[in-house]
Amino acid sequence: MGMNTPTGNVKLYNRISHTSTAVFLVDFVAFLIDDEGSSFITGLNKSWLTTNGGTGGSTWKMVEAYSSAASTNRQTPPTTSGNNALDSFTGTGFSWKTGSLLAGDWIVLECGGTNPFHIYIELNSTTQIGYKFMPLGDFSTGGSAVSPPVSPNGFSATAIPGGGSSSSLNAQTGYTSTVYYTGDAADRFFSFHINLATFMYIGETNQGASADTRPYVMYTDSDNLRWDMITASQWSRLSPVDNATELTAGSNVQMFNVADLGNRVHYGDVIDATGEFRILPVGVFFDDTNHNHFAGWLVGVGSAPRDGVLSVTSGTANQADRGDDTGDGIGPNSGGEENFIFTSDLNTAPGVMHFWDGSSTFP
Amino acid sequence: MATPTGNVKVYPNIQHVTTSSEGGASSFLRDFMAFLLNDQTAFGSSAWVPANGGTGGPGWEIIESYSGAAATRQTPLTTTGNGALLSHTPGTNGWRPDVATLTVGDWIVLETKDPYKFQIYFELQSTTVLYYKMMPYGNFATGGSAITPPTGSFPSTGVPGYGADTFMQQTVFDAPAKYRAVAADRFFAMIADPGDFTSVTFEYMGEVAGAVSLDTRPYVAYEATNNCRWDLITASQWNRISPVDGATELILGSNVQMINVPDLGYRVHRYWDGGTTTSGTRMLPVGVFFDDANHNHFAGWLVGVCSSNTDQGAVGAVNNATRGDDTGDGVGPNSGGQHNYAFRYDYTTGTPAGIAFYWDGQTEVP
Repeated sequence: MGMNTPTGNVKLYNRISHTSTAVFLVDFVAFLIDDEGSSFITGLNKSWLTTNGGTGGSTWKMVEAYSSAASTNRQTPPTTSGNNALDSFTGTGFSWKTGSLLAGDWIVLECGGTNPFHIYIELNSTTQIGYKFMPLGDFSTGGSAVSPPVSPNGFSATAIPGGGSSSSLNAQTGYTSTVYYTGDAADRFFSFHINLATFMYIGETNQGASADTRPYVMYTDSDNLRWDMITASQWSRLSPVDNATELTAGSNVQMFNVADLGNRVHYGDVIDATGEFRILPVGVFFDDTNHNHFAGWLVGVGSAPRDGVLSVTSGTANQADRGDDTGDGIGPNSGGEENFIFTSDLNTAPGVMHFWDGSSTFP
Repeated sequence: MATPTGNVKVYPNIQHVTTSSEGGASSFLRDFMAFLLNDQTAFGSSAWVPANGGTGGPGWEIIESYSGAAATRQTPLTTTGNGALLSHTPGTNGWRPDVATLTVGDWIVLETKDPYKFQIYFELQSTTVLYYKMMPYGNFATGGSAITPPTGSFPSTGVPGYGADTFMQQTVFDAPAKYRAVAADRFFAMIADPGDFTSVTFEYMGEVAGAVSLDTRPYVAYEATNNCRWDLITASQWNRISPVDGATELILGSNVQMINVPDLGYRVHRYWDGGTTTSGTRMLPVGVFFDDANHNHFAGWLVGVCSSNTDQGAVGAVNNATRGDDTGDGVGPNSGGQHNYAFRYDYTTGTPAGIAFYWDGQTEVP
């Protein structure tokens, strides 16, 4: 009962450096669709590739993409997932093929598994990623080649944030310098952090109610790479009550020592006196009027003690922060048995534990 | 809900009454010991017995017992299973099913099952109070003077109070009351319910799941027995022997629950009534955290019990109306009758989170 398990096999984006967020986005899309063969990706030669000892990518596929520099600049490629998918974009200069994204270029992906959702990802600027989340998987393809896409061939009325509005995107800070990107993904979720500073999670929760067939959430507090305590609106989703209302009052739900309110287990006590520590689950609770509910547990990530309790500086994520895995949710002092990458951008808040596959190397 | 070691057995809300020959507390304690021992012949009509549709008991073992009426302290010939209680020396020993009643002061020590057996001392302290002492190292000293309590027999690592004659105590009833329990190889949890929804009491003794590897005896004992709820206000709800040194008694244990962080003070189950969405009710895990200086640690997750919404089902009820079929998904009946618990809480202090018990999916809950 530490870190919850996602649907499908978890794949690791194992602390990979990129010269810019623009380059990262192309590589990360390749990771999500498991394209290990396209020219630009093999040129990058990053460590998530199976040829480099990585786990390979996930089971997602492309729905449509836009490249402002291309001759045919809005298209669904012939091959939407797997090797050489990015190379299958037609025409010349298509940025998701060449790797030369320009501000405004976008792509829509569909996750794997049952009841797939769509996620719109845009290089909003050279220092910002924009997201639009469509839990019902109903992005409309084939419209005008513009950025962002406009109705009727674009965002659905239930897109998050802002419904079909083309101006509302969930933003995450990016970089024009070389920084590290670390995350994981499976059939129905991805999460990653950039430069030990910004964080994104989009996708499923574990053990949503049975009536909630699309228990998909999106993190909207991306500048906080931690399980924060002070923000009331950290998560958004489409209501499971009516499948129409956008809920914005989602918050982390964490384990609290009730006799000492204000102190989460991972906030008030850095390390167990046993010399070990504990990965604890993190849930998401929505407090929107008439739609309040516990959505379930985040997958592939967990909560860590605020100070890492590791022999390394808080906020790092490298070889020193991981160990062997027995899946017991207990930390490395118990004999090197753990399965995580620890990260927090604040020493006074519980950190984010990412799944680690037990073998992939970290630079 | 975290899973205990071994198969969970259900003591399904059985009523015990006071008669002209036996008090309700004595009736319960003897039947409950038979349940823990899996002595199905002691009180064969009890609803936990498989012949009556029950699950049977976990099969713990008698270490020693004391009968005031018989002025005897003994380890019976058969220490577990059928015939165990009847194997006490014939005569007036109240632990024998053919004797009418226990005498106030009678006690018995039971031992749990492998691995890392521990022992619990049970005493009928009065017609309305049970005494408990947990011995995590299973080192009760048998063979002493036939007295109550057995001064000098408790180990230095007993909980509470080390070797002293100090006990956890739980109110039970010299009147009609229903008793519901779950137990497995290394724990029991029990609710005593007189039916007035305010006087209900709760005890839990035994393992937590997910203890750190060096903590081979992760056994906790609930101290706040008059609070049949996952309380928010008591700092010292749980005791145990420290896993750090194997000797220090820790007393600053508290429930650890899921809190909606922007609304500090509100657990998910206190804040949310569960009735406004299609997502149904939710069973959430409860941990135990010890805050004793130099021994602070997260001990692990309680097994066989968990947290429930404040107003799940009829308030205070533990019956067929508050249970359902089980898919093990931890989601309640609003999602289609899929849940696995019997629910109970004491509502005397507002809207606390309720205690949900494991339910086997078949045993009738009267």
